[in-house]
Amino acid sequence: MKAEEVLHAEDVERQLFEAKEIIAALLSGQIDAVVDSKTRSPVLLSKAQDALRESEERYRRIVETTDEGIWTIDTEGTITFVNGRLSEMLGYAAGELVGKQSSHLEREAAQANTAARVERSRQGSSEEAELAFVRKDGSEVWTLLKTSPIRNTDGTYVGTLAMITDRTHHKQAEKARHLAVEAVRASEAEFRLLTEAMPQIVWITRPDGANTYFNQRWMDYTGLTLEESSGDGWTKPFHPDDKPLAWQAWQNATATGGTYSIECRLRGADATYRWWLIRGVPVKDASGNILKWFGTCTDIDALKQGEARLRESEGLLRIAGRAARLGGWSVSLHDLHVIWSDEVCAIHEVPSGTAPSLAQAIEAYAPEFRGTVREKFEACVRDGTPYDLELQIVTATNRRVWVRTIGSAERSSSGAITSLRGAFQDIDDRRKLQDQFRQAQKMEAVGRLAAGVAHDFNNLLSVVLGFSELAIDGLKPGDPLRADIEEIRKAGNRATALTRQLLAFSRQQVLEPRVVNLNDIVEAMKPMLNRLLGEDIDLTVLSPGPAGRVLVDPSQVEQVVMNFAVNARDAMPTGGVLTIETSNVTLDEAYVGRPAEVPPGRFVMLAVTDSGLGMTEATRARLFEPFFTTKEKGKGTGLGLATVFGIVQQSGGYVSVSSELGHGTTFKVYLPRTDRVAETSLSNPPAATMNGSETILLVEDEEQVRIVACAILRRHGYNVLETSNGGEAYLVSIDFPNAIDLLLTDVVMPRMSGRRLAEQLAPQRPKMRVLFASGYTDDAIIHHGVLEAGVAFLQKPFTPQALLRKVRDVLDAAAAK
Amino acid sequence: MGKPKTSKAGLRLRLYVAGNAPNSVSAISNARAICAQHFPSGHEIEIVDLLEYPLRALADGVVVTPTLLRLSPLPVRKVIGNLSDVAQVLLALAGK
Repeated sequence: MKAEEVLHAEDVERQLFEAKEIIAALLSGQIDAVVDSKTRSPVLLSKAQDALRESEERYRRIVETTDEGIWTIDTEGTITFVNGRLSEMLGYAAGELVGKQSSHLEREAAQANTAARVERSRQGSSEEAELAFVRKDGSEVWTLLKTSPIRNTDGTYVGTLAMITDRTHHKQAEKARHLAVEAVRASEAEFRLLTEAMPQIVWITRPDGANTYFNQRWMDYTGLTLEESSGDGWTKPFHPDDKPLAWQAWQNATATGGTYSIECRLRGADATYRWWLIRGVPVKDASGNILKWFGTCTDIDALKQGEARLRESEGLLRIAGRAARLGGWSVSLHDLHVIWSDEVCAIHEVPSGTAPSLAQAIEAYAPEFRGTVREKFEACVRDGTPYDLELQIVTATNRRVWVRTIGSAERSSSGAITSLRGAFQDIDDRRKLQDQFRQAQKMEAVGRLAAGVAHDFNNLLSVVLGFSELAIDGLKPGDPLRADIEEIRKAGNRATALTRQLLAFSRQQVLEPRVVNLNDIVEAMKPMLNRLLGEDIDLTVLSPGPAGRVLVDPSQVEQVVMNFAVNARDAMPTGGVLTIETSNVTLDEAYVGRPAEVPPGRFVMLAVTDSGLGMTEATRARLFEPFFTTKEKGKGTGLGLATVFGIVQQSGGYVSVSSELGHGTTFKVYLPRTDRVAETSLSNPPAATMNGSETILLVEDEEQVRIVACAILRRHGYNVLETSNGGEAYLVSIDFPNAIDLLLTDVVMPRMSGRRLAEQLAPQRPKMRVLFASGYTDDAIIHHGVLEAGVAFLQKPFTPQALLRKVRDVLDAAAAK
Repeated sequence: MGKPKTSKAGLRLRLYVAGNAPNSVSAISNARAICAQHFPSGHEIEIVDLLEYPLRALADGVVVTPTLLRLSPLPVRKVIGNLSDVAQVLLALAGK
C-alpha cells in the first residue's frame, strides 16, 4: 500500500511535471498538435494557431498603428491593455500604464465622472465625450473619448474598451476660430453701432452688386424695408435719369477695382428726390480679388441746391455785367496780383482770364490819365480813400474807351488794408451821349442868343444895306463918297452873312426844302469848287449810281459842301486830293461800321474826303463847336462846321467824321432818302429885270426898315402903299380903288400878325400875291424853322437886290399861272 | 511497434511529430543535430507521425507533438516541445 502509494506519488509527480512541461510548451507555442483524449484522434494545433495569430497580428497592427490611443480596463477599472499611441499621447513608457487605475489618467476633479462613466459602461452603454486627460508631466490633452463595454461569450461584462483622439490641435484651432468669431462679432457690433451713429447711409454689397447690408438711415430715407432693398432692390430709389450713370459708374468701378463715386438723386419715402453723393470702396483679399464693397450715401441736396443757386446768381451777374459792360477787379497787396473779371477783360479787348501786372493794368489807361489813376490808387492803398473816376483806357485794338473805375480798400480783421477791389464799367456810349448833349446845349444857348438879337439886328442891317445902296445910287460916278459908302455896304453884307451863319448853326434859319437829287447839286457846284480849291488840289466827284432823292434846302446843301471844301483846302496847304462821293446806303442795326451817331435807316450819303493833315482826337471832339477854329486868327470864324452841323441836323440828317492825324479826314453826311418825285428845277431862273410897275401893299412896323424898303421899291418903279401895321393895311386895302398885286408884310407884328392880315385880305383881293418877310424862325408861317409849302418868304436882313429879286419872282410866278 | 534497428546502440529515441508542422520540423532537425553532436557513436531515432499513428502515441502516453521519448536507457524520459533548448534536451537524454 505504502509502496503503491509512493509509486503513485512518483507517478503523479511525473504526470504533474509533464503537464507543466506541456503547458509551458503550449504557452511558448511549441506545440503542433494534441491528441483529443475523448475522440483519441489527433488535433493539429498549428493551423488554428496560425489563423488566430494572423488575426491577432492584424488587430495588433491596427491597434498599434492607429492615431487613437486605445486601452482596456477590467471590471475594477484597472488598465489591462494600452496601445503605443496612448502611451505616447500621455507621455508614459510602453507598458507603464498597465495595472494602473484608469481614473489615474484624468484630473482629480473629473474622476467622479470617470466612475460614473465606468458604471454606465458596465450597464452596457457606449458613449462619446470630449474631455481632457492628464499627461505624466501633468499637462492636459484634449481628447474625444469613445467607450464601449467588453463582454465575454456569455454576455458578462468583463471590462471597457476606451479610445481617445487627440483634440488638442483641433481644440486650439476651434478656440482660435471661436475667438475670431467672437472678435468678428464684436467688431460687427461696433461696426453696426458706428454705422447707425453715422449721419450717412451705409451699405455693403457683394462684388456682383447685390446688397447685403444697409443701416437704418437707408430704411428711414427710402421707406423701403431691408428685404425690399436686398439684392438689387437698392436700385429702386434711383432717379430714372440717373440710373444709366449710376450703372456706368458701377461697371467702371468693378472693372478697375477703384473707388465708386457718383452724385445722383434718390427718391425718399415722401416721393421727393434729393441729391446724394454715393461712394464705395472695394474690400479685397490678399490676391486682389474684390470680396465686397463698403459704401456710404451722403445727403448733398442742400449743397447741390446752393450750387445751383450760386450758378444761377453767377449767371445773372454775368448777364447783368455783360448788359451793363460792368466788371470787377481786385489787387492783392500781398503780391500785387491783379484779377480782372471776364467783363473787364472784354472792355480791354483782351482774352478772358488775362491777369495783367499792376503796371500793365495802369498802362492800359490813356497816357494823360495814368498819373491820376496811380495817385488815387496809391492813396487808397495808403489810407483807404475810395475813388470813383471817369477816364479813358486804350484797348488792345488801340481804341480809346471811356470807363468808370471805382476802387475801395478791403481790410483784414486787424484793420490792415490787404487788397483793393472795385468795379469797372465801359461808359463810352454814355460819355458820347453826354458830349453830344453838352454840345447840343451849347448850340442851343448860342442859338437862343442869336435868335434873340436876330430880329432887331436884321432890321438894322436891312436899313444899313438899304440906305447904303440908295446913297450909292444917288452919287455920281467918281464921287469920293462912293468908296466910303461902298465900305459901309460891304461891312453890312459881312454882318448879314454872319447873322445868317449864327442862325444856321443854331438851326434858327428858315429852310426852304425841296425834293432834289444830291448828284445834281454836287455836279452843278463843280466849276465853282474847282475855282475855290485852286490848281494844287484835284477834285474827284464820284457817284457810283443814281443817288436817291432827299428833301432839303438846296442852297443849304450847297453851303454844306462849300464849307467842307473850304476846310479841306485849308487842311491841304501844299495840295492834295478832294473826293466828293454820293451814294445810297441802308444802315440796319447789324450794319458793321455804322457810326454811333447815325441811327438805322435809308440814307443818301455825301462823303467828302481830303488827303490833308487830319486831326487830333482833341480837335475832333470840338469840331462842330461854334467859334472853335484851328485856323490862324482872322482866317476863320469858327462857324463853318458848326453851320454844317446845324444845317444837317435841321434837315433831319447826321454827320460823322473819321480822321487820323497825317492821313486826312472824311466827313460823311447822311440825309434821309425820300420817295417823293424830284422837282424839275433847282431854283427859279433869275428875273430878267429888277424893275416893276405893280402896286405893292407894304406892311412893316419897324419904321426904318419900312422907309428903306419903300425907297428901294419906289426907285425901281413900284407903286408902294406904305403901312405900319395890320389894321392900317386893312383900311388902306379897303379904300384903295385899284388892284393891289402884292402884299409884302412882316410876319411878327404887334396886334395882328402878317399871316392873319393875309387871311383877312384874301377874300377881298383873291388875286393879290403875298410875300412874307422875317428874320425870325418861330412864327406863324415857319414851324421849327421850316417854311410852309407854297409860301413866299424873304429872309431878313435883306439887301436891296434880294428884296427886288424876291418881289419880281413872286410877281412873275403869279403872272405865269 | 517497430523493433530497434541497432541493438548494440546505447541510446534509443522515438520522436512523435505532427506532419510537417513547424515545431515538428524544428524538433526533427534539432534532435538529429543534438544526437550527432553529443552521441555520435551510437543512437537510434525513430520518427512517428502522430497524424498517422495516433494510437501508438496514446500507448506511449504522448498527448502532444512534438514529444521526444528516451526509450533506452531506461527509465523512459519525455521531452516536450521543438527541442530548441539544447541544455534541457541533454539533461533529459543523459539523466537516469
